[in-house]
Amino acid sequence: MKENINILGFLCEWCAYQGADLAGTSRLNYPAEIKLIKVPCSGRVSGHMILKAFQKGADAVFVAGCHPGDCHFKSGNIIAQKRIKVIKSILDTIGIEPLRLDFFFISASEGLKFKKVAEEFYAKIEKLGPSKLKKWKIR
Amino acid sequence: MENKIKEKIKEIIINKEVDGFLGLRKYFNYVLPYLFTEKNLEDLEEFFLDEVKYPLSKIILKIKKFYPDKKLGILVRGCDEKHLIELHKFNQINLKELYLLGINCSENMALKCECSSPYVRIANISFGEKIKGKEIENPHKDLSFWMEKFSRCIKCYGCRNICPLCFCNNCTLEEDLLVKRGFLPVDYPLFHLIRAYHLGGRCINCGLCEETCPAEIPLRKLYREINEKFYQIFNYKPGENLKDKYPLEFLEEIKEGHGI
Repeated sequence: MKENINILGFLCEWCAYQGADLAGTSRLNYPAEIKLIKVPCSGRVSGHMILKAFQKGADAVFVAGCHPGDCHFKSGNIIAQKRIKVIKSILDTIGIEPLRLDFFFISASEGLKFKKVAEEFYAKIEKLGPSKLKKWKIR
Repeated sequence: MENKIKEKIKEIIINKEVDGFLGLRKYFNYVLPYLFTEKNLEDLEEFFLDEVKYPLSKIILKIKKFYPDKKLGILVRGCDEKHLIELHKFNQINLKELYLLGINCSENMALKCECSSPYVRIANISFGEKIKGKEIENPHKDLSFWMEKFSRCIKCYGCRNICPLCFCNNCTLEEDLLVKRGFLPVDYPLFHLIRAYHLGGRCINCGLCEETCPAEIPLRKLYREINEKFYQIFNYKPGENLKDKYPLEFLEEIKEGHGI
């Protein structure tokens, strides 16, 4: 039997979430395994939230924010992008594939891009399979 | 060397270059940190100096909180000095208000600590010969290795308590939403990864946490490997230079602005 895959997405309220909304209203499908959380800004997503998601059984996490220069709070997306780089290196160090974490720039008008990004990311994770952390009986 | 250092400490205290000097004292066969001042100058006879590492930089941070306007002297080794440089960058201590009396470590101690730079750089005065350190190899380990080590954790918070760079008033490791308090076993690997995330690009590889850990988790190896990757991404090494800026320091960027 194929194992279920859980993907968590943190979307910025101003751009990426609106983009996902647009994908919804224009009836574009994206993989149902992707669960989305709305955050005020992609810079709000701290490293702890991402690490906690992996701890609680997420196979992959992505963060999406506005394009550089478009951030509602001026530089939240740049901050998030830097942070993701650090967390990727931490995951790599303890032996979880850094591919399981990613950052995307999606604007409010890019419903099609959101669908494309979601499908591509899902295909990538499906190839990797479920996270190795799941084998350990952790809380 | 010990007598020379004692004389120097006496000199700077009498000349009022410093109000107090933080060093180690042998007291009934116990080695303790001790603040030598003008009032207890005779205790300087019991001044202790040997091949030991002690987190004096953590203690001076506490003393400074109670006496912010006093000028203090402190005994530093290479690693203590790196701590102080990092604390200065994070606005926890002002290096101009400190008098650093540096000791260069002996070859024996550098080997024992696996230290790559066992000498002082910016100290006001330094004793002992400068020797070269040795870089250590860091073989990459897989997930099962780390999970086995992390699962031994008894959640004593020793690594956080000893680390001079852990200076926050409210610690994230005590946040109930992330790590549930009062429960064992600890939420591994989250507990250790949160600390690793905080120390990424800040850890100066002194090894105090690993020495303290009762479960012998190779924390130093973990932080060192993360730091190597941090260096590849941002080209920044902690504790090396006073002028370098921590790459994840965001306030400057917000000032510059990326908006329209």
